[in-house]
Amino acid sequence: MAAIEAHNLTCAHAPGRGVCGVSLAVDAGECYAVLGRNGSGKSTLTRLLLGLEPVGGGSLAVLGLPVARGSRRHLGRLGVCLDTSAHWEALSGWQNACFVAQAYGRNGRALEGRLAWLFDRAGLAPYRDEPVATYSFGMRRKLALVEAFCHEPELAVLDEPTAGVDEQFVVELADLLRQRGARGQTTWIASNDVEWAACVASRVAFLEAGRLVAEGTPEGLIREVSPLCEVHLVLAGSVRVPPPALDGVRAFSQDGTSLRALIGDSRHLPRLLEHVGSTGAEVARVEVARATLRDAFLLKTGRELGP
Amino acid sequence: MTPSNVLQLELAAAFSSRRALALRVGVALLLGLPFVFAPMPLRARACGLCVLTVFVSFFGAAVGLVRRRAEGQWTRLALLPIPRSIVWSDLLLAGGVVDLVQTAPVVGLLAVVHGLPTAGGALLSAAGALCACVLTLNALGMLLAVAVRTNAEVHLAGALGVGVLVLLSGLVPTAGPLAGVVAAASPFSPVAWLEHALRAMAADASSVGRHSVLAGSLVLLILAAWLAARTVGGPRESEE
Repeated sequence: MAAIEAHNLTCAHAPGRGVCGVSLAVDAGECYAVLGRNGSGKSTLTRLLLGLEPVGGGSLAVLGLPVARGSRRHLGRLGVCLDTSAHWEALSGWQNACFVAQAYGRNGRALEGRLAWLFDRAGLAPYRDEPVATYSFGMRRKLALVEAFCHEPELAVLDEPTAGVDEQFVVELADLLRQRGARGQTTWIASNDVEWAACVASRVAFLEAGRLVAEGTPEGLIREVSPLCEVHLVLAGSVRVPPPALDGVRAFSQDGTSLRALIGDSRHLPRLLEHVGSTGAEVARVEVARATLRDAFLLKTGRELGP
Repeated sequence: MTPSNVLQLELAAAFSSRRALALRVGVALLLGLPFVFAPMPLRARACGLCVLTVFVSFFGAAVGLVRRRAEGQWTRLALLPIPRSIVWSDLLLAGGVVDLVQTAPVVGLLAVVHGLPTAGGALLSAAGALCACVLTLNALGMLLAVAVRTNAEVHLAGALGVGVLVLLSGLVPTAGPLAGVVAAASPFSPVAWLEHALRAMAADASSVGRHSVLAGSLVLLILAAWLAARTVGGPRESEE
């Protein structure tokens, strides 16, 4: 059963804004990232999943339950971190998190252990008993994420989870999401952080003006826009290297000690190095550059790749 | 304390800061003290304290809720698997308790300064009327908060609402057709009940009827039972 299933889903805020005919299916255990520029409809799509926006057309099911505005039956199985962190400022982070966990029916020592572990991983343990009013923006975001994971939800819905948090936590969060995937738990991410999404997501979708313009694995999307790797070799001395007649080497050029080649993938690199070595040249440095998900994102959402 | 339901959360948040609590009670006392100590007719004292209660409970609830909606707390609560009826009733009860903490000292002072020696029945009647008034005004404030969108709107509509409540409760003299409307509406207004109860408490305790004492006692009992059920009970009820 798909954790999330949308068919021709529409939600219009204003002409040209919102979600226009989005169809997608997210399987259980997947980490699915929706990427798009500001105003592309990521947050609206996320709020549709939560029943916070009216479904203008099409259909939407979350964890097998149909969702419309005001739907609440699926909420108990969700963990949510929206792009705004709302807390009870006068209470401590621990009190806030305990309240949320208890709202999901968790209590007792198991809850305390789980929360202590999450606070530790988020770096919030030293501040757990301090009022949220004293927390920085990043600490509030971390607390919102702790609350989203405190009851080990079947589906975590995260809007801009890396916004404002430190690099250490970004790494911890990626690890946490991988663990969730291994346990068969699903994660939905709406983000602008393309490089991080490439690391954690099993599939990504690019949203542009409310429409899905591309969807697939990060690897697949990168290959779609640029199947080739660019290899840059710097030679120790000036030696003339003839173009190799090798399968997988698409282009080859030399400028003094600098050699450039386009190869199908990194498996062809050893044979290229062997060819260069056979001419008596000594390779001082090897650089392999591939297109990234960011390049794919920029191309698919209507911008050219940079130089 | 780790709050396990919305009422406990709200009360813990409201009473966690001594400074905030002192400010709440202090401001209500400052506004209310002239109506206790300054020389004026008894009706003016009672009406003044009623207007104070309307401001604290109705206006305060509406403005506070709109501010919290802007901060995202409504959405946060809406996304938790807690039935909406429980969320709203807990918010109402919490608002009522906090407002009672603010207004009860002023009413208590009125009883001490002008009502002693007074009969227990008059005190019960006034306490019940205060509770009913505060809860009703909070509920009206919450309705207003749901109806308006912005901070500016709630201030405007709240000020108008205070005027309408004061008028319909018969706290200001009216004439002509409006007097008829007020005469028809005020018997149903808890603010008017409070005004009568305060006057009776401070002037002539023997004038308090048995039905007023019974109604006051009933309100106090219901409030105490409701509060006990939500604060002493175990973990909250789930929609799961």
